[in-house]
Amino acid sequence: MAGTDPIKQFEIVEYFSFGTIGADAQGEGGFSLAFTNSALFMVLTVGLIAGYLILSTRGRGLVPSKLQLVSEMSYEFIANMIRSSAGSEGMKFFPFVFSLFTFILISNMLGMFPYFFTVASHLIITVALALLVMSVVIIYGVYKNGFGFLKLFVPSGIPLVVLIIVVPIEILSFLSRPLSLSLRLFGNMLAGHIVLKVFAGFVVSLTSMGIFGIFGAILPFGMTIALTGLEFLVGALQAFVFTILTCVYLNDAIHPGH
Amino acid sequence: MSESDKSKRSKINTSRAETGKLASKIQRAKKDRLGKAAAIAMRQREMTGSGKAFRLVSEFVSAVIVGSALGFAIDVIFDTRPIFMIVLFLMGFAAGMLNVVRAAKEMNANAPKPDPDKLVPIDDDD
Repeated sequence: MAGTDPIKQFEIVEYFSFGTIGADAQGEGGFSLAFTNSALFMVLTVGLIAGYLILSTRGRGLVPSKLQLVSEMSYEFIANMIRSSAGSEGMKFFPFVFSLFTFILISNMLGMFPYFFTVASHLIITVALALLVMSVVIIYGVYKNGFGFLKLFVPSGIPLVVLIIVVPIEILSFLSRPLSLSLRLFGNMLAGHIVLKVFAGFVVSLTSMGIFGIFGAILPFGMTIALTGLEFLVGALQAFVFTILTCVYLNDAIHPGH
Repeated sequence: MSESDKSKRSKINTSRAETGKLASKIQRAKKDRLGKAAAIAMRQREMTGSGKAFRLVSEFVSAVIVGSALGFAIDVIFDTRPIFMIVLFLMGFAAGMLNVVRAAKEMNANAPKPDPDKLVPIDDDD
């Protein structure tokens, strides 16, 4: 059954390779350093965002054109998000948060095109993003507060005896953040695209089963349409959730101690 | 006091009153705008039901996974299988619960307040 394999859309295809790292003498094994379809779509995403923002803000009109308005609204959207969850001190991280949001959003939207690759459907990408967030939080937290950053793990107003149990739990809770951040984005994108493909595959296989099949295919076809809409929603929502949690975590770095 | 002086003063007074009016108008507009921004921020934070569910699930599961993995790693390094894995699994469970409670608290804080008129008293009799 060609074309209805729900997993095939996540396949990594190497376009050209820069060489291999860690191969043995026979050239076996090792890690291939290549420009893949995933890399292509990441470049496409970044190019699209940068191109749009540069082009739309080139006029710098006091009365914005429609294109400029979209850029300004996206600025306002992220700026409001940061101010409401990390305070105005968090505006330092505006470029970082804005890049994260637009990257995830646009790559998810690009992934909705048929035959396109969804970057966030690979765990390694989302883990890299989550670790980036966590390293920014830890590095800035330690840089700004020094040892005061460790107050994050010590809730105030708790007797010393209970602290022995609470502090390890708090540390574990902190350590689980990058995993939950990355798993959520990855899981949503992967599951959504698989379900979409499975229902679309039903349409194909049912229509090849004669006249009853064609009528039966109406049901999964309707489902596919509904799921497509849902996937757009999920893609945007997950980008939003990822960024708002980034803001919440940045808030911990700026003001440790609950 | 001459007649022209008086008229000048009254002119100043009316202009002052006008500026005052304008200032209060600006203040009101600013307040409206702030309120609108806050309302938008509130609405932004609301998620769909499945979004909320997924958030809570991932908060819980990830803590358990991290705890068990950490415990397993410590066990392998110090050759104490399975003590640390069990201990850290339970701690991961606790941390996951903590995460879930915090996330739920945050969601509650962002949710709109229920209408007190529409609340039905809980029937404790049965």
